[in-house]
Parts: sequence; structure tokens; C-alpha cells
Amino acid sequence: MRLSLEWLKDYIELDISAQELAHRLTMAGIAVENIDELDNDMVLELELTPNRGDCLGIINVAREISALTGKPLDIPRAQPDELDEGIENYVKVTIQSDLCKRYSARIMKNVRVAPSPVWMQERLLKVGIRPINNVVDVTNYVMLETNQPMHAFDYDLLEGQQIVVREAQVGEELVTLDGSSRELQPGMLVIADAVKPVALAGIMGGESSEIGEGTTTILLESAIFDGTSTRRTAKKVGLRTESSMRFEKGVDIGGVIFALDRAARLLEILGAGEVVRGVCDVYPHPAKPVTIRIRPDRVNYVLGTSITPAEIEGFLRKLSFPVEVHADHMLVDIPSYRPDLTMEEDLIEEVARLYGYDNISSQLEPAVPTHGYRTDYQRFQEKLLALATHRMHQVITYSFINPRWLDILGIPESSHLRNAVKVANPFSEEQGIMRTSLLPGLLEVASRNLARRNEDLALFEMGSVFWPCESAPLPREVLIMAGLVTGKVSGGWQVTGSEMDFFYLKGIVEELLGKFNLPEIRFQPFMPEHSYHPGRMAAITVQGKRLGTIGELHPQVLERTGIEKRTCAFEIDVLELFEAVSDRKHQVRGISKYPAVKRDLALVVSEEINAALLAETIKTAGTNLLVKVDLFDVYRSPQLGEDKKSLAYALTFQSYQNTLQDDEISAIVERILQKTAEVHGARIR
Amino acid sequence: MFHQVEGLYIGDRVTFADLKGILMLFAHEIFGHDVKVRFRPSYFPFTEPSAEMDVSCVMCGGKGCRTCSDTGWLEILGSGMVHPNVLRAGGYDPEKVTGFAFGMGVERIAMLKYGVDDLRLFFDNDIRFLSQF
Repeated sequence: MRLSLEWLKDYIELDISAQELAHRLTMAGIAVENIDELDNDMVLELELTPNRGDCLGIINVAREISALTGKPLDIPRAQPDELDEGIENYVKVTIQSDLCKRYSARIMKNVRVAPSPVWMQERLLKVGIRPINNVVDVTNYVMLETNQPMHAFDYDLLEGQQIVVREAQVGEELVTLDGSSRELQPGMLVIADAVKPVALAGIMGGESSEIGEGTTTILLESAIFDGTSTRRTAKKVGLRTESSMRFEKGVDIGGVIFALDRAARLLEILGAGEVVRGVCDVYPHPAKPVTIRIRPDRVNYVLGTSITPAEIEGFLRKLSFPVEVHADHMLVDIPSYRPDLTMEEDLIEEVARLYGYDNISSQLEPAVPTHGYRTDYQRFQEKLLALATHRMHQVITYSFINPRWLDILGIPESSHLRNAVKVANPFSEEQGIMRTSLLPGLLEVASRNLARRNEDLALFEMGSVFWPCESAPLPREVLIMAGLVTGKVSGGWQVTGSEMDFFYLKGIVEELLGKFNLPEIRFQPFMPEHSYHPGRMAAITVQGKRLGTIGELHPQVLERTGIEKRTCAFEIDVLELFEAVSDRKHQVRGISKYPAVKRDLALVVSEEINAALLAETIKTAGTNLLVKVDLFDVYRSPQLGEDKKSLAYALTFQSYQNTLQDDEISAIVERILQKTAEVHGARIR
Repeated sequence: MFHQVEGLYIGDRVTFADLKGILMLFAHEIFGHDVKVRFRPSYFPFTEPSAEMDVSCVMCGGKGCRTCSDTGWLEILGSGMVHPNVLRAGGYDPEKVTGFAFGMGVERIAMLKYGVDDLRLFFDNDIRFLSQF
């Protein structure tokens, strides 16, 4: 709302600068966003909170300033001089809908439509309203003064000397003042004459009764329409006006007649016409006056202050609220222009803002608050996040994704991953479904980074995926940690960067899981149905339970995403991992006094034999004297034969009972050779 | 997309002065002990009285610049004393128990603290941005 200080001075004396006024209003809750300097005037831009719609009227802002500065208000006379002839001969008003709370009208005759005086036009222009003619300008002027939207009809163009406030009927149409023809629907409140709608209530008048040069008699309207209904209709017809916006926020039902009189009086002063005696005022359920009890003790209890009862009374009187003082409380009459005040706390805020929020001391609670705590699972998540950020950048992507991703990942029609929650009213197709995998987000981030020549990426996200749940209204949320790597490890000057391939990513995952001392972490080759490269994917298991997957992404998936480099990813169910961590029994073994003995063993196997599984067999055959098995070399050569490879393991033997003898170890190695030949067809190289 | 942090403190004799004390401590810990803090009356449906907290502009030190629209102040959070209806709905007697609540946007605080000029950078996930944290 734009507030001209030159105009404001009509209602209150100002002896402070615009800057000082802006500061004081802001600190009292009427935020001043900006000060515009216009020729010989300052215009303040007010940012009003939803409860202070009243301050869309300059007089109400003046009331606020009066409370802040103590200067008296000068509210203009509204009562017009009237002709002998009464309004009853002109019009009958009927309200047929609860959506109209009050409707009042006045008639003016011998109207001379002309441009309004320059001072009025200038004031309207300064706050952003286009002058039209004296009658229309006065209705706008009074709206800006009082916050009461008004309308003027050409009386002679109304049929049947009647105003009927009712809902529109099916098939009715109205050409509004902006020249558009609007189809009306039941539920929309209209002002009608005896025959047809002549205005869209509280939003815009109709062209058929527009004030024009030939107008000689007018009907002035000042009314209250339901805010919600006005908003709904304004939205339906796509017309949000100065008037409808005010009804949405609430207009003072007690100020209807003042505004009506003020408009008539102003037109009279401007010589624009003569006022017919009387007001036609239909007000079916007059609002009950509001009285609020306020207890000074309660004020200080809530604010943590020691404001005296006399000070409290003083603040309320500054706001011009009538106060009745009792022993331990006061009764305060709330004027109808402050409908935001309905209970004691509202008045406590009035006292607080006049006292000044900055004058309330700040205190650090000496009492001990109840201990808050986070669950084991929450703390686990934090730890996991912290560990993951050692090797990868954390990203956050949207939970809503484009359903196209299901095709990009090559997810089969039958897969449960296609059973995604659909967004009922998405912003766009881009956000059509809720994700059932974190891969789309990671791939999108990767492809965006690669397009910007950020070539080497190690990314992860920890976030929910969503599964429709038939037994509950909300989808089931499953927390997943997923990561993606592509490009090279930054090598520095010592080593040339190696590719962040499957084994690099597996190392990251092993490191992550390793920090939780989980037993039996396995990467078992797995045939993917989608997303991953066949033969380059593994299930991550702990003690036989699957926690997630890891693998190289399918070349077609990468191609469809526009990624030209080999890219690997992993996905882990965080809750499953947490449960595995909670279930584990972490026992420490003492340190053996006896020396360890090392043996290297190179085994030739077929290409398809998995090195980890071979190591498992070695371990089992090696009994508990074999404490460590490390793969240290993979070798391929024509001498080994077609589709053969050599896997070299370093074996460490150690006993807790005695020093191991050569022949003891040789016997175990023999057993290992036997077993690996049996299970994997391995032969010693 | 943005993230929101909300706080709620309910107890015996929790006052507006406590609200100021705790939130000022927060502002000083995040933005440094030199920033000035002010509270302005505001409106939220679930608190009464309500307040917005401003800190002196971290870009210009309160002299006025583009970031603070020449006001010298930056709005960083909304707060207030918990509305009696909210307390009642939570099973408390507002005559005996009071409380305060606050809420703030995480990205907004981060933008001001780290001098980030575009909210979208947080969700763009460009590693040249991410690697600065």
C-alpha cells in the first residue's frame, strides 16, 4: 500500500521526518519497505501483515501514527447536506444471500460528471490509481481514505428502482467495466436491478450502468461482502481488483455509513451533485461490540516485563480504545475497525508493540529445559553422512521426478519400481512422480556437471524414495544412500590419477561399511534387471542379508542420459544397514604371542571365477589358522591358456597356541589346493 | 525447494524475554557478535504476540546496500509466543504454561552467512559450489 505523507497530513499533524516515521511504523509492526521522493511529497510503501488490512485505509494508518506520536487525529466531517426529498422514493434494497453482510446506498441527483479537481487526481496518481471522472474518483478516494470499497451506478440505467444482492443464476452474463463479457455461475454474488446483474459484488461494476457524461442521478454503494466468496469469484473470473483485495482482507462493517456519507459529502463539496435525504441501509445481523479483558499480571507474565497497570492503560488509550479499569484487570472496548483483536493475547501484543519490542529485556532462561535427544538411528544417519562426505560430494535433488526416468533406466514394465506415487497436480511433467530410486537425481547432477566440464565426479545423496502404500493414506518412505562416480581420482604430482571405476567405488563402500565393524560383508555378482551393466554388478550383503547394490551403469542408460564416460553407482538401504549394525556383536580378539607365517599362492582359474568367492573357499579350507587372505595380483597371458587368469593371494597363518611349523602349513596349503580345484577348477601356477 | 527449521519451547514461565534471549544468542553465534539484532511486531496465525527478527546487514554492516534494499537490516526469522489455541490443542492450560516458537529458512541463513547470491545454487549441485563447503 502506497501512503502519501502530503495526503496523510489531512488527518494528523506530522512533526517528524519521513525516515523517522518509517522507522517508528516499522518497529510497531507496520513495515515500511521503501520511501519514494515525489515532487514535494514522500510516499511510503507499506508492507502490511494479513491481520492489518485496516491499514489499507489512510485514516487507519493515521490512527496508528496517533498512537505512536500522541498527535490528535483530525477526521473529516462526513455528514452531507441533504435535500428534502427522501431516498425511499428512489430505491429499495434487498439482500437475498448471506454472502452480503451489509448493504447501504445513497442517491445523488443533478449530478454533473466532469474531471475531478487536480489535487484529487494528483493524489490518486501518486498511489497508483488512474483518475476517470469526479464521481468515480471520489469513490476511489474514499476507499483509499477509509479502506471501504465503493461503487457508483448510473441510477437511470438501473431497472425497476431496485437493488437486489443475490447469487448469479445459471446462464446470466455481465459485461464488466473493463469491457469483458463474463459468464456468471451460481455461487458468484452479484448486485442486480429488478431484471439483471449490474455488478460483480465487491469486484467490479457492470458496463450497463457505468457513469458517463450523460449521467444525472447516481446510486452510491457502500457494502460488506464475504471475503472468501469474493476471493473465489475474483479468481474464477480472473479479476483481482483494489476492491476485491480489500474484501478478502476484511473491511470494517462499522465504517460502512461513514464512507458512504464521506463520498456524498465530498461530491457535494466538489459541486458534482446534490444529496437526496437518507440512507438505505440493510444490515440483517448487526455485529456485536467486542470487549476484551486484559490483566496487567498476565501481560508481564507473557512478556517477562514489569509494565505498570497505568502504563498499560496509557498504551490502550493512545490507541483510542475505551478502557474500564478494575482492581486486577481492565475491560477494553475494541473499535470495529480493528477486527484482528479478539482475545487477551491480541491486546498483549498491542501493549508490547507500543512499549517497543526493543525495550523488552532479553533473558537467557536460567531453568534447565527438558533434555532433547536423538534416537540411535538419527545419530547413525549423521555418522554415515559424515563418513560418506570424506570421499564424495553430498548432493540434494528433488523427490519429484520425470516419469521418463523409468524408461531411461530401462526398468521393465513388470517391475515394482514402476509403481510410483503420482503427483496429483504437478508443476510440470518434469515433476510428475515421486522417485522410487535416487539414480535419476544423481545422473541428472552428473550429466549437468559433465556438460560444464566438471569431469571427475564422486557424488552421493541420502534421501527418501517413496512407495505407494495401500493400507495408509501416505506413501511409505524408505531412506536410501546412493553414490555415483565417474572420471578420474585427482592424482596430484606423485601419481597419475586412476579411473574411478567399479573397484574404486567398491573401495568407498567397503570403507564406509568397514567403519561399522560389520561381519561378513560380501559383494556377490548379480544379474541386474535394469540400470546396471550385466556382469558388472553385485549385491552388497552383510551376513547373507542384502543391503543394496553396486555396479557399473548400463551403457544404454548412460547414453540416454548423455554421459559419455563409464559411470558406477551404489545404492544402500540405510535402515537395513542400521539394523545390521545394531545386530552385530563386535568382539575383539587378543593378539597372538606366536609369529605369523606368510605364503603366497597363485592360482589359475577360468575368467568367470570371482576372486572374492575363491578367497572365501581358501579361507574356509584354511581353518582358523589362516587369519588373512589378500589378493595381490591378477595376471593374464596366452601361456595360461584361453580365458584363463592367475589370481595371486598372500596368505597369513598364525596360531594362538604355538609357533606354526612348515609341515603344518604345507598340509593346510595342500588342503586349500584340493578344495579350490574341486570347487573352482583351480590349479596352481 | 527449500528447508525450514522450526523450534518450539514450552514450559512454566517461558516469556517473550526468553524468546529474545535465545534467538539473539543464535544470531550472534551464527553471524558473529558484532551484528545488531532487532525484533519487529509481525503476524503469524499460531503465535501471539508475534515477532520478526532482523540482523544488521552482513554485507554492508548496516549502512544500506542491494542485499538489504538499503534498509541496513535483514529479516532472518519469524517467531512469537505460542498462541493459546495452539497450547490448548496440545493439551496445555495456557494460563499455566507458555512457550515460544520460531522458524527460519536454512538456505536463507546460509546465503547470508556465506555470501551466496542465488538460492538455486544449493540445488544445482555444481561441484565447484559443493566443494566450497
